[in-house]
Amino acid sequence: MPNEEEAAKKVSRKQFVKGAVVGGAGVAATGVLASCAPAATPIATEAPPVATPTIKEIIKEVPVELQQAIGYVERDVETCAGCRTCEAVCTLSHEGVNSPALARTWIVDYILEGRRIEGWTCKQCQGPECLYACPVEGALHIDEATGARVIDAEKCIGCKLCIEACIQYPNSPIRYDAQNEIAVKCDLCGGDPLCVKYCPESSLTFVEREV
Amino acid sequence: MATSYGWTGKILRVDLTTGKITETPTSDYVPKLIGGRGVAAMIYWETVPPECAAFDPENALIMMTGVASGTLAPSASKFTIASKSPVPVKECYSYSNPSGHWSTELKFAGYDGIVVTGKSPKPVYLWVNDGEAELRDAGRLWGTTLSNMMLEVQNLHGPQARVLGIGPAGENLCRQAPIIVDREHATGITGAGAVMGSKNLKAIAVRGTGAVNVAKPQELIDLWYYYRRLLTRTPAEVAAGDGWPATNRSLSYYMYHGPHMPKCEGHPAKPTDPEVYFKNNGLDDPISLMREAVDAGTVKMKYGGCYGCPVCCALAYQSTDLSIPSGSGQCNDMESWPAYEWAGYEKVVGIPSIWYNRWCDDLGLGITNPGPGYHFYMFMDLINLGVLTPEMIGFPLESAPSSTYSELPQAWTLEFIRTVLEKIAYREGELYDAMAEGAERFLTSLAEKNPAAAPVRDRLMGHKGYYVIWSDSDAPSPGVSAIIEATDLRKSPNKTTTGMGKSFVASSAGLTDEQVAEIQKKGNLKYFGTEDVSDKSWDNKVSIAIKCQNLSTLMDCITYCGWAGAYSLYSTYNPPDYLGDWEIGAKVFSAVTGQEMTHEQMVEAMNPIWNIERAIHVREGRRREYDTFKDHVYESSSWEWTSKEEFEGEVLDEYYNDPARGWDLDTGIPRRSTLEAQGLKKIADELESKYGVEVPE
Repeated sequence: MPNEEEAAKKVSRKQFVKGAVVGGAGVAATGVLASCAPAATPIATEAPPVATPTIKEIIKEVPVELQQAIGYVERDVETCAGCRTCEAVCTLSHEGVNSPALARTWIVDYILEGRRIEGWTCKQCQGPECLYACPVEGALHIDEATGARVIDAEKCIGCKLCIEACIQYPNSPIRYDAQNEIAVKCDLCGGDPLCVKYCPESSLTFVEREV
Repeated sequence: MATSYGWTGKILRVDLTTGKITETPTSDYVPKLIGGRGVAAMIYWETVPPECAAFDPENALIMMTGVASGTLAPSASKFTIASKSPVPVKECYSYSNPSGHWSTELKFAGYDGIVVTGKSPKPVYLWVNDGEAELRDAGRLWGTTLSNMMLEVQNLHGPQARVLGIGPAGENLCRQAPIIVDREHATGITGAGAVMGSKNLKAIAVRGTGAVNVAKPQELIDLWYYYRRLLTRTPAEVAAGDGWPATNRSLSYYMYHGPHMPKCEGHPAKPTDPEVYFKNNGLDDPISLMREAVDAGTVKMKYGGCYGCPVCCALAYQSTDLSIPSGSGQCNDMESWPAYEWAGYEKVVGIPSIWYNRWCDDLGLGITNPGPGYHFYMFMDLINLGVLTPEMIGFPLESAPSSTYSELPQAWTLEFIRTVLEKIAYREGELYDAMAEGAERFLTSLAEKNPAAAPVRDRLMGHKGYYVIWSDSDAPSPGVSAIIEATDLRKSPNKTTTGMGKSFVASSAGLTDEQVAEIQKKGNLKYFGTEDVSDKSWDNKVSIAIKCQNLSTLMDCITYCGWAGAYSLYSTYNPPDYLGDWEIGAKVFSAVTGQEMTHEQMVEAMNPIWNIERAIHVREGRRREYDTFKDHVYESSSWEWTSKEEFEGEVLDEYYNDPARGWDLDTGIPRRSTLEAQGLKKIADELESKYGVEVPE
């Protein structure tokens, strides 16, 4: 996991990119963009013609403190029974339907290997790549109460950048809801994760972080 | 995607002869028939003509999920596999309810059930993926073991594809061969694997990313938690002092306490006697020899769960030692049974029983019926009786097997077990070919040649004509058990009645025999209206039997597992009275479908399902004379308090006359008035017009 310092650096990149894409002519971005793009080119309205290394270099200069999550959910695959109650309770409580493809925690159950389990949960990273990757102001944001990195369904444009940016990608616990064309993500159920509460083997635990 | 609550709305129809795949709406059958077993019976009624033999292409393999499969409903991962069963000599309709994750995945793939008819000209498997289904060549899979087949299929379709299929035993039409689901569950008893083999169908793999709609999601979530709390407590609750014993694990922890729990005070460190298990229901440790490997770190053990189940009763073991296989087994079918059963055989306990399971799974033999019927025990008995000689079994017996199960003959080695299982599955040699014909046929022919085999046959074959049932019983009383066994399609309601729930209360909550007896009295009073149901009289027994049968049918329609059935009556963790909540089926149904049904209404809705099944059996030739036992049964000591005449006379009369059944006293055919009152006029008409059965008024 990226350390605090690195994390802090990245948030400003997020702010920067956000300004560049959504704001179009965001104040902070304009000058920078102008400096790294040909002068005659108008500011991009589609994909930003941004030279990434240059931007990374720039944002190093602007450290910002990120609010940390109160904790995260961790799975012990050694005891996980593969019953997928966590998946079901996750989508039933969030979407009101049972759809494991939307479950923010999910497993693969290797039955032939004595039910070896591989599983993924959102780590609510201190340096959240998903948050940095989100190009929309406030779509992937930090919940004030829990510090969880959460997605605002109203603002999400379904670009999937967060899913791909996740350090666990391609097994990202951020899932894509094809019906509503948005990404869905672990929100810690407001601080009391249901998957932890319902796990029959207590394989899922809520790991608290010092905030 | 989901179209209505609980259901995806489509049933897949696959004609293997033509390769044509179609869909029909589930709404043709639900909500009236609830789901699972009820729907399967109606589809069978419409699809399989009575003259059709089990291995005829016209026979259908009907896989039907329950209304709550694929939701969070607790322990609701079961589904029904129905077909004409090749097991009894009088082939007849029967069904089985395996669990696992297959039914859930099928719903996520967009289907509520699959009906397979016809016979493929060459080996195929069916691949169902997100609303699409196709038959694929299985030439390379044919003849492979179940594990190898699953490996190939999952290599192609990914580890999340859920697979049911058959091993060589099913391909070779061993009549008792089950379909193995997810490699750890099986369709016990009915021989569905042989039917699958007769159709040249090796496997059905499903994978889905869809959704199942639930009417009241929050209610269902709460219900799951409520149900869990009937079983055990969470770590937080235990820490807060709410709960005994201090465990944060699933119920299986109580059952096996193998890898996780240090020696439990007051219980034997090593299994001594099979009776200990049956008395304590699992509180002695079945896997002590495994513990050496576990302690050495070569085997990791844990529990495995079916979809959305708070019990997680499968025992899974991951091995880095080639002399121990990796695998897993369900609580009462694949893994732990032989571990328990062999708890008395010190030399076979643990590792050999795991190999035994692995071979049974891989060959596609159910563990309870690979040999001549019920267990390897029967095989042993036949050897002890001198009916089977070393020459016949083709294996030297270094020492004579003991008639008690406490001493293990040297011959019962891994090699011996494996040889016997393989010979049955591949039908090698005269003896094993005969054994592959199923217990009833095998023991009957054996007894004709050698009368010494007759006692073994008689012990197994008590029912007159329809042997698709277990030979033992767990019903509340001998009388109830007799009624259930005589009239059922197969004996299934054991867990709903008394045994399991009550026993686990006893073993898990650490109660004394007297306390358990008190609990049972309260339970009997609440559920059956009388404190004592095991008295030796026929009072109330018919109504109790019907209650048990309907409850069991309800389980098979929702469909929830016997665990839920057991805890619906007696709860491990619900002091002070330790009674469960038998309305859990109705509650689940209401939460999933949004259709309010009371427990009484649900139980009543089982009556038409019973009469559809009865009409099927009547159509296939079953009449009153087959709702009875062979004479030797009545001569056993458990029948001393009553008589054949009484049972076959007034007791059956009372059963037939009960409004829940409403069958003609002379013939056992459902009366027209009953069928019409239960909305089954079509069945009454077809019985007469199509099948020439005179339906009494």
